[in-house]
Amino acid sequence: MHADLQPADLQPARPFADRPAITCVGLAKSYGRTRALVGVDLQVERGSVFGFLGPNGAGKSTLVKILTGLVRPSAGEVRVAGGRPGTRPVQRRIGYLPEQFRFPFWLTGREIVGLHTRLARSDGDYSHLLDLVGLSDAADRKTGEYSKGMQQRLGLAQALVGDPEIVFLDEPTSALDPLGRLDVRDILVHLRERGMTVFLNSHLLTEVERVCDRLAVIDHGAIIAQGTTDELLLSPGLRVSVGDMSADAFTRLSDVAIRAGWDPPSLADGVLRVPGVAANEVPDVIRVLVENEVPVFEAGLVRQTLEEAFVHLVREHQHSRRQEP
Amino acid sequence: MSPAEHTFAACPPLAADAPGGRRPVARRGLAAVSRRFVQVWRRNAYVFVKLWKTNLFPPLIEPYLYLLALGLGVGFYVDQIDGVDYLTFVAPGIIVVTSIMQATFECTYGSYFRMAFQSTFDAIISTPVSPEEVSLGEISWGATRAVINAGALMVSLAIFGRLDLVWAPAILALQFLVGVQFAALSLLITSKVRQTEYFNFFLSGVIFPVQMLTGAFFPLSRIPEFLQPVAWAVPLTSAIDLTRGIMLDRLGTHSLLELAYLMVTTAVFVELALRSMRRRLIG
Repeated sequence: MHADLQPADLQPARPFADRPAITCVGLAKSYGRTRALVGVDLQVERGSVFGFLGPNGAGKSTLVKILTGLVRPSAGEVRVAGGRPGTRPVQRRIGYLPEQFRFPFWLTGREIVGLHTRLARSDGDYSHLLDLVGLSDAADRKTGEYSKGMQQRLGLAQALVGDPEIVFLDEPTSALDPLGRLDVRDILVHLRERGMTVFLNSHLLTEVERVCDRLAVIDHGAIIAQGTTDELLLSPGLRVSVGDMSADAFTRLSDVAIRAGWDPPSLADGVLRVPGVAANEVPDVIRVLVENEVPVFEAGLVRQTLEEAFVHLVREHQHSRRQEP
Repeated sequence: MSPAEHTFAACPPLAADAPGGRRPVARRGLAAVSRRFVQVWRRNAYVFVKLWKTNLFPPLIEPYLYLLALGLGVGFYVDQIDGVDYLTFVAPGIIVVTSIMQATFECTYGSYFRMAFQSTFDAIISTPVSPEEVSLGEISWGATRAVINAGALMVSLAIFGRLDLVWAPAILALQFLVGVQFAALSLLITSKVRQTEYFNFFLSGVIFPVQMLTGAFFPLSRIPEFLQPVAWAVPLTSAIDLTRGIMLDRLGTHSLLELAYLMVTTAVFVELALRSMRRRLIG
């Protein structure tokens, strides 16, 4: 299992030139009249785990395919591992786990990794990658007997063939149970420790929040936010469990929020949320509620989850797009 | 923090790839192929060998039925064609038809499955293997399947005394060539389709009609005169005539022209397939 592996079990990472792992400037891609990417600026530092988030159809897979040399950009510049994607020097340095893949069900896990090793023309035995992804006991079983999670781990082992410096993982944990996701998270941390750059495209925001150093959010082909997890989360916000709250009381609280510079409050299932409230402003919110005879059961400052931040960012971006002429 | 504050503000300018800012000219088609395509061929061969019984025997049923139905069934009512009995006449046609069907199915449904459903090509292209090498690996494997099944059929024909195995290497080499041609044509079609149902047009509209038009089952002299130039324009006609020429010892100077025509058209199909597959794989 991966926990037993030491960094020395893997080949030492070969540093490329002292440049970012990935740089995109003004990257654009159009399919006919459909604009999949619009002026994407992005930089991923070497040795980091980078999370890439976005709603379905936002352009995530298009960007990943450009970075792996599977799609040509319509405009802009892109560098991966110091070179142009699709060229042999770059392809030698990357690994890729596609979002949807299947293996011939009559081949074993060891055979799959072996075949890919020959395709990558890598030297050495890479069957230890099966240990890394926790498939050593199932290495000689046919992949037709593998669960979805095991197949996903096998795909991850395949992506790591050739000792890549940058690995692109498209939804690597989507078919995994919680324990499997935990294992993959440990693997990603392990890869980062040995200097590998991981570009993680995932819908599972909890995983991204826990493992990624930096992340970016894309919507309608444009990067709408990027930074560290802490930078992206709106905090603190106030969460109050309330009883019946009249529309009049909610309007007055909204007015106070506007004057105080907080984000608009929301009320759902007896939980009132007021984002942007600082600790010293909590009494002001409680006072408004009490004055308007709203029963207050519990109140506390909460840190926004990545899911909330993601929804907030995407909705705000989509709202601003609708406002554009 | 607003989205604007998160937006990456200052990406460093990128240097040009080559001095003077000129990008290197990328090679395309056959010029972009190295020996790495052999690794793709080897991958397909390995997958085939693992299930060799399933992969080898069912495709042989159809040509054997052709041999039985046409050679022994129809042949019972046919006296002689071109100076030989019908089974001897039709055997070369069935060998070539077996070859093209194997190559066609391998590089239509087989390649499409690997490309669209298994994402195998995406995983391969993310290694130093180029799209052209993936395509040539697929084509050469399709041609190999043609040779395997044609060879198995030829063994039976030899047992029945319809084939002198002295000619087997030449016939198999020819089947490889015609296999490359139809594998390339099929991969060209595969690069264009968005779902497997479209292969029905190719199979029913091209592959099956050309079998009727190219002298596989009856002499070309039996088709209308105005169609004969069309029939000779189809390279398959040359392939069948050459195979029959080898098996019946009827090769002549025209055979060299047929072989040259087959080779030139094959090269054209391969080049077109490689370029079209690059466009499909690198969108």
